[in-house]
Amino acid sequence: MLAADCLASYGSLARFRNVQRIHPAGPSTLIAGSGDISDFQYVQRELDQLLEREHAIDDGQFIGAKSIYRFVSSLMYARRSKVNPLWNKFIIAGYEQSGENPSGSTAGDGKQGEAFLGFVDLYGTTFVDNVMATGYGAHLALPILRKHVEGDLSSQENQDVDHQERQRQKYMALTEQQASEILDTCMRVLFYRDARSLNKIQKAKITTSGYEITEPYSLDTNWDFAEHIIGYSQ
Amino acid sequence: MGVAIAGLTSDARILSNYLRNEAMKYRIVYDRPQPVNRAMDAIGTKAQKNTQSYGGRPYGVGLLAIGKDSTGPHLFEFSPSGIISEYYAYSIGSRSQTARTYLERHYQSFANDNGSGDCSASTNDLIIHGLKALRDTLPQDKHLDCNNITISYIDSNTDFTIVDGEDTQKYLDLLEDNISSNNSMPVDDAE
Repeated sequence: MLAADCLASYGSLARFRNVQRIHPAGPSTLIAGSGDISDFQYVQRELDQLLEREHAIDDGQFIGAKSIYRFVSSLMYARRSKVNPLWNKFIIAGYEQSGENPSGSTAGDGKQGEAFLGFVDLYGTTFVDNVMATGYGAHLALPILRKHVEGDLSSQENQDVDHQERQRQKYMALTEQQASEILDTCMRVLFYRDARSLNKIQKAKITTSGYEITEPYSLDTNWDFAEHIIGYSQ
Repeated sequence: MGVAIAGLTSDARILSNYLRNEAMKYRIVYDRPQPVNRAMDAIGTKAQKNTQSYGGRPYGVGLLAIGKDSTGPHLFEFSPSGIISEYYAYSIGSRSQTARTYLERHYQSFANDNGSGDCSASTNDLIIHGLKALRDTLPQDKHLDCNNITISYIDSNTDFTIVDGEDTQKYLDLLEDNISSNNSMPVDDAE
């Protein structure tokens, strides 16, 4: 699942407040972008062209999330190496193969249905993880996300277990409802704390049978504490 | 992916190196192995150019290519015209017709029509079919032995493997066992 707000800023001006920042790239991949919106649109166009070429070849091949990720990260690194970067940070999420394999094949490399989550930025830096966030989210939301997928690292029961495996078990045990609430919590914290944010967000979910992007909606917030504030510090 | 060569091995070398390059480029861009049919289309397109421009000559080699990708295992024929065809079973080269006749008679015991890529025969069964087809191409006084055959195969657990020289003896023995059990192919259960 992914979440992003609907804001495209012009410096500190909240210029466009109804922007969709999560986009599909093929039936099994979503790309969410922060940074320069025109550069994001350029990357979207490149991805559309790639997928159109694949569609025209029409040989039953399926471009999964990993391939989209490799394509985008090669593009980002190539631009940075020409000292003309695409000023974005992307999170790419999806699956390697859709649940209904068009050819009905059970043969192949067994990579069908494997989930993927990757990050690539303006430098071409890439990494893969179970939780991800950009901007202020990397500071404020990641600790919340990590707590839900790995628990308290200092507690004794977590000392001897393999880190990745523990994360995997924990997030595999999360239901969609729980994940949805966790993302809302993170976005709420970000709205409270990031002075350049907007309380209008979209969530997206991607499964082996396709994707869904919600309509924009607002989170409930409670600003009652503001009444009791006098001056700048208390 | 791998190829078997019939014709000018020098031309086969050029095409093989081109295939390797194309496969590597695809892998770098898409982070997955190149689908076999796309690799074949690449050399088909390349070879066709030589049939339609002045001053050159067509590639003097035919290839049988095997490979596996996300849609399962595949067998393709490449010819100097640039025509690419996919088969359940095939043979090329001189004296290939008798082998092709054998395969035409027997391919339904291991082919699958639903495109599932799942084969009802084991790898060894397929190799024995191949050796029997090959045996039919020999004149009366000649026999298959480990010096005049090379076997290569791919299966769901194995990447392209070449079996040559002494190592082929194991398959020749399997062939003898199969012939001596009344020339009937064991009907294997699905794997």
